[in-house]
Amino acid sequence: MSGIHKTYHTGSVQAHVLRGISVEIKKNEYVAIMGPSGSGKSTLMNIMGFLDVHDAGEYLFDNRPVEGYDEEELAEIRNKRVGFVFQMFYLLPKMSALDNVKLPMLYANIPEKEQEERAKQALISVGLEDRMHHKPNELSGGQQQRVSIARALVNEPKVIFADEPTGNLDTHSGNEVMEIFTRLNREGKTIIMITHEDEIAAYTKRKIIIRDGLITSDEINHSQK
Amino acid sequence: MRFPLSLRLAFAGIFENRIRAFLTMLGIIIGIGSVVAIMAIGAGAKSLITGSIEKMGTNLIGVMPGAASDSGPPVSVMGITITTLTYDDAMVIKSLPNVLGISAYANGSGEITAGKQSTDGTFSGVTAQYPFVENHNIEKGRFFTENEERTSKKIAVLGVDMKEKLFPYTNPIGQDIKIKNINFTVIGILEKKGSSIVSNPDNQVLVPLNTAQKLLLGQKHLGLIRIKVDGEEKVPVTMEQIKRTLRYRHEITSPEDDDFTVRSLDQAVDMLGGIMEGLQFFLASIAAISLIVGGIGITNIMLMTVKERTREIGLKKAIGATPVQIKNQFLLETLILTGIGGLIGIIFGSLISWIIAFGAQKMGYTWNFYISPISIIISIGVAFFVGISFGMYPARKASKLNPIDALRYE
Ligand SMILES: Nc1ncnc2c1ncn2[C@@H]1O[C@H](COP(=O)(O)OP(=O)(O)OP(=O)(O)O)[C@@H](O)[C@H]1O
Ligand SMILES: [Mg+2]
Repeated sequence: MSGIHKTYHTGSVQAHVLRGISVEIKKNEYVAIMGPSGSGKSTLMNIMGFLDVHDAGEYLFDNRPVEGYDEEELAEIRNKRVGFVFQMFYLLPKMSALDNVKLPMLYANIPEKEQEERAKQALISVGLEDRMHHKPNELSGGQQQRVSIARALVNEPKVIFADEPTGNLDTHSGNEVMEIFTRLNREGKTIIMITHEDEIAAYTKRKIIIRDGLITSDEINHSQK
Repeated sequence: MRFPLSLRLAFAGIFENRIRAFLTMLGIIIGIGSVVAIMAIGAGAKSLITGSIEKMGTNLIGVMPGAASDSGPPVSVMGITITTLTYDDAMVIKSLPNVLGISAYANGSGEITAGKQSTDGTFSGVTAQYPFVENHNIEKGRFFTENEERTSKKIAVLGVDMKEKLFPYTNPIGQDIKIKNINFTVIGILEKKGSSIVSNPDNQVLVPLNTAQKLLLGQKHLGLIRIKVDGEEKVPVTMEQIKRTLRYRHEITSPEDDDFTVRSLDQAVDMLGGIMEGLQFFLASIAAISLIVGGIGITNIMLMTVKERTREIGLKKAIGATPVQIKNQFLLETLILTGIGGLIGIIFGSLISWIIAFGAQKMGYTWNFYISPISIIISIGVAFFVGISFGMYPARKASKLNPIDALRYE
C-alpha cells in the first residue's frame, strides 16, 4: 500500500489519523506494528483487514487494487482470505466455542457436517480439544482468545490480522497465544499484529513503528524468539 | 437431535436478552390474543342474537301496527300507540291459505301479586293458539281454550320464572293471583323456554286476549299478530297475501300509506345481523388498536437494543457475513419470535373466548364458540409485519456501516 490517508470527522473536529502510510508486506511475513497510543495503528490495520476504508492512497491486496470491490466481494474476502483477531475477542456469548468457530463457515455456506469437522480441527490446533462445548463465559481470557484464533483460522485465510491479541491477557496466556501465531507463520500464514509490548514483538520477524500517522521505523528482527 | 447452526443462532439472538424477548413476545401475545378473542366474542354474540330468533322458528310472520321503512323498526316500537290493528284483522288472516295458526297479542305491565308475593311484571293477552304458534308448551295444568278466551274468563298461565317469583314453594294451579288488583285463577304453567337478549318468555303472565283488552288495558287494538305458516318456503307468498288483505280491510290504495308492518323472522335475523356486523367492525377496530399498541411495544424494545445488535452485526460482518445473510438471519429471528408469540397469543385468545362461550352456554344462551381463521391470519400478518419493519431498522442501519464502526458503536 502507498500514500494511505485517513481522516475522521467528529462533528466539526477533524482528526487526520493516517498521513501517508506506504508499506509493502509480502507473503508469509510475520509483522509487529508498534507505536504510542493514538498513533493510528488500529486504523491502519482495519483498513488493511477490510474492516474500514481509506480516503486517499492506493492499497493493493494480492496485486489487485481494493477500491473496486463491492459489498459482496468484501464480505467474501473478510470471510475466506483474511482472518481477524481482536483484543476484546468478540465471541457470541450464548454460543459454544464450537459454534463460534463454525460461524465463518456458515457464511461460506459450508455443509453442516464439514463445519463440525473443521471447527473441531481448528479448536484442536489451538489446544482446546476439551473445551469445545464451553460458552465464552466459562473460559479464561487466554482460552477465549484461542477460540477467536480458531475462528479466524477455520476458513484457511492466507493472512491473519491481530489487534493487540495479548492486550487483555496475562504473560503466560500471552505467550501461549504468540506460540500459536509463530507456528501458523511457520506453516505459511502471513501474520500482522499490533502490540505495545517488546516481549510480544520479539516473536515476530519485522517491526514497524508508527508515530502520528506516519511510519517512523521499519526493521527486520534478527533475533526472533 | 440438534438444530442447524443458523436456527440456533436465531434463538441465541432472540434470547440473548431474556427480558427483551419476554417483552417483545408479550406485545405479540397481547396483540394477537386480543384480536382472536375479540373476533370470537363478536361471532359468539352474533350467534346469540340470531340463535335466539331462530329458536322461535323460521316459519313465523309478524304483523305490527304502524308503517316501517324496509330495514327499520315500525314506529309502534318507539312507543307511539297505533290503534289500527284489530282482532277482526287477526281472524281474517287466520282464514288465509297456508296459515296454520295465529296468535294475537296485547301487552301491558303492572303489579302482579299472589298472597304476600308481589312483583312488577308484564302480562300478555294472547289467543288460545299461543302454545302452538310459539312452540311454547304447557308443563303443568292446561292452556285456555278458544271459548274461554272469547268469554273473557279471568284465568292465567304462568311462565316458569314468574311462577318461581309468585309461588316459590307451592303448586299454583287453582290458586288466585292479582293483576292490577283483578283476581285471576292460575290454570297452567309453561315449560322453560330460555331467555334471549330480546325478551324472557319465562317471566310473563298470559291471560286470554279478550280479558286483557277489556279488563286490564281498556283497548280494542292489538300490539302484534304472529302467524305460523305451513313451511318456510310459503312465508313470502303469505306475507303478500296478508298485506293485500289488510290494505283491503283498511281501505289503503297505495303501499306508501300502509298503517301496518309485515315482517318475517328471516328479515329480523337479517336486520339484527346487520347491526351485529357493525358491532363486529367496531370490535375489530379495538382489536386493531391493541395490535398497534403491541407493535409500538415491540418497536420500543427493538430500538432499546440497537446498540447491542449493532455490535453483533459488526462482528458478523467482520468475519464475512454478507448483507443478505445478515438480513436473512434477522428475518428468521422475527419469524420465530412472531411464530411463538403468535401461537401463544392464539391459544390465549382462544382460551378466553372458550371460557366466555362456556359460561354463556352454561347460563342457557345460544353462544357459538368460533375462532375465525381470518382473525388469526390478519393478526399474525400484522405482528410479523411490525416485527420486520421495526426490527429491520437497526439491522439495516448496522449492515450499512463499516464493520469496525458497527463493532465500536456506542
Ligand atoms: N471512529 C473514529 N472517529 C474519530 N476518531 C477516531 C475514530 N477511531 C479512531 N479515532 C482517532 O484516531 C486516532 C488513532 O486511533 P487508533 O485506534 O488507530 O490508535 P491506536 O494507535 O490503535 O491506539 P491504541 O494503541 O490506543 O490502540 C486516535 O486519536 C483516535 O482518537
Ligand atoms: Mg488500537
